[in-house]
Amino acid sequence: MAAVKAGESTTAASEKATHGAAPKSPGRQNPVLRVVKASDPLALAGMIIILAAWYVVTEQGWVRPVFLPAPEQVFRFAEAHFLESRLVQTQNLGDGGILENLIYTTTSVWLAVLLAIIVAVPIGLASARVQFLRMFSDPSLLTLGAVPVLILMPFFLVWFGVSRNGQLLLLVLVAVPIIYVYAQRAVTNLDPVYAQSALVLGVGRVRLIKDVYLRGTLPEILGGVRIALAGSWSIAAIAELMGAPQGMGRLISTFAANTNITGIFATILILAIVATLTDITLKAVFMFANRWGSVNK
Amino acid sequence: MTAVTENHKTTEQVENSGPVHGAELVATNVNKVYSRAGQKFHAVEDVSVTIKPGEFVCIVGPSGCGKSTMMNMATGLLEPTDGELALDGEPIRGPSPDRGLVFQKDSVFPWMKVIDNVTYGLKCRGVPKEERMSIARKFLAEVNLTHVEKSWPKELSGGMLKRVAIATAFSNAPKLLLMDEPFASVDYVTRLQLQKTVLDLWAEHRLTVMFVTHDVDEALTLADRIIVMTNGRVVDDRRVAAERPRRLEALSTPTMLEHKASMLQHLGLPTEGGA
Repeated sequence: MAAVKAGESTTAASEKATHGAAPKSPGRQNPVLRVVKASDPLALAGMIIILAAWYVVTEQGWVRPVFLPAPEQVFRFAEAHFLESRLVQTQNLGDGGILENLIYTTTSVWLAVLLAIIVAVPIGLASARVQFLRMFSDPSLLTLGAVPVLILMPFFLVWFGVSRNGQLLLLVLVAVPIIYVYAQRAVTNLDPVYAQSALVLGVGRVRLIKDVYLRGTLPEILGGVRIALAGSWSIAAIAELMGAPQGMGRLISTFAANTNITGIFATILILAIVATLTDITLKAVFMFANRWGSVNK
Repeated sequence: MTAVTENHKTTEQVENSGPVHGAELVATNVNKVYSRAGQKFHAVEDVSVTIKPGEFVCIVGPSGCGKSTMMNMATGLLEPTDGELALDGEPIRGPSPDRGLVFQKDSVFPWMKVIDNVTYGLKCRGVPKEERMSIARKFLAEVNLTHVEKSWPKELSGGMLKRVAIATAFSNAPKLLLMDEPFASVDYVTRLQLQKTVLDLWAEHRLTVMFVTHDVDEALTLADRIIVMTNGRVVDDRRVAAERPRRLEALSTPTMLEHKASMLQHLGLPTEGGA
């Protein structure tokens, strides 16, 4: 995802264009259209094939429903327990249904990634330029990235009790090293000529950071955010197992304890859909931020 | 020690009439020493040069002769180890919009559309939107790029990006324009077109230009005065009086060939009979 220099990709374009028509500029795009474009049709097709296989396998009775419930069964369960569920309520997982737990987990993930962005982006950007900062940030944050942070969960349980804070901190600790590395690398990849050019044009310090360092690195940083976010969903669910008032992870473990296979499938399916939709939205944002670049992912 | 002092008659150097906006660049005993891995490297050694207002000066030399270092010190991106550079008597400390620079690399911000690139310097200096747009459009027209003002830089060719960089530099109304091998990476025909563009703009706006190149012919095509540098020192400083535009014939006159032969000699190339 290197910031490709503009000149390299266009050397083929003819100088003749100087006297010809303007090159085609991608016009203003509808945000909805952007999201649709960001959703990969191939991935969508793959998802449909998996669903179809699931349907066939259960319909033909090749796998017993105790091990793998039929899709309709799972959908029906999800629908019945989505907003209001006695089953969920009696397990002490809130006053509503699956939705309430979904909101809990989603909030944790989004909030944690947002906090991680606020922490990691400035440090990452600055560390690429300030050697003194990198001296401290590199060893500590890269070590953190290598530590299996889940082992910290029991400590957090002691420190924070059964609350959201422990999971939030854990998720932040997972996301920060990823976003940090992406932000640092983005600045390293940014050709110093842009900052020099801005300085020669008479730029001030604030504009230099905003117009050159931030705008020039935004697509790469967003790429890092996407990766951090993708990993956060499963970490969030696992973190909830060790102590959370509610959440999709708690829901899965409760269903597992009651051998409610259909419930587990329904929960995982809903979580997967939300994670995928989040990713598609973020990808659309990425494509918008990168509309000037030749990076296309 | 190669202190070069010449008597210039400023009124004669410029063929065009009209007020000169350019400033005078004076370098006094400028030295630049790099230390790399304990080794000291004298990139620029005791250079003293005066560039008159409105003059078009080319600095020619092989790679590593210190010409780019000279340029970076004139922009203020680098500080001399010793000695001083001054623009119109003001010592140069750090970059300033007074001194524009066209880089060898593509320096057009890929994340801004062409028009936003050209207006960026003016925006930084608080020029109102209406005014900066009209200035930018004027220069885009002068470099033949009006039709791409709303394009992203990735949609332009290398030569067009150079034109954007030139329009950006001129829009900022510098008194001294520094050009660091700006056309080294474009093809031959495009280079000739770009040379003409720069000469036209220079003739119209009458600023001082310091143009670094390793191409002797490019220097002979463009310059009022050519300074040859090798190993961090000025080894030759000559005036080229021929009229512009200098086409093929103008470059093959006996005087021009003599200039060329003499410069090549200064650059360490034998020119006659391989002796």
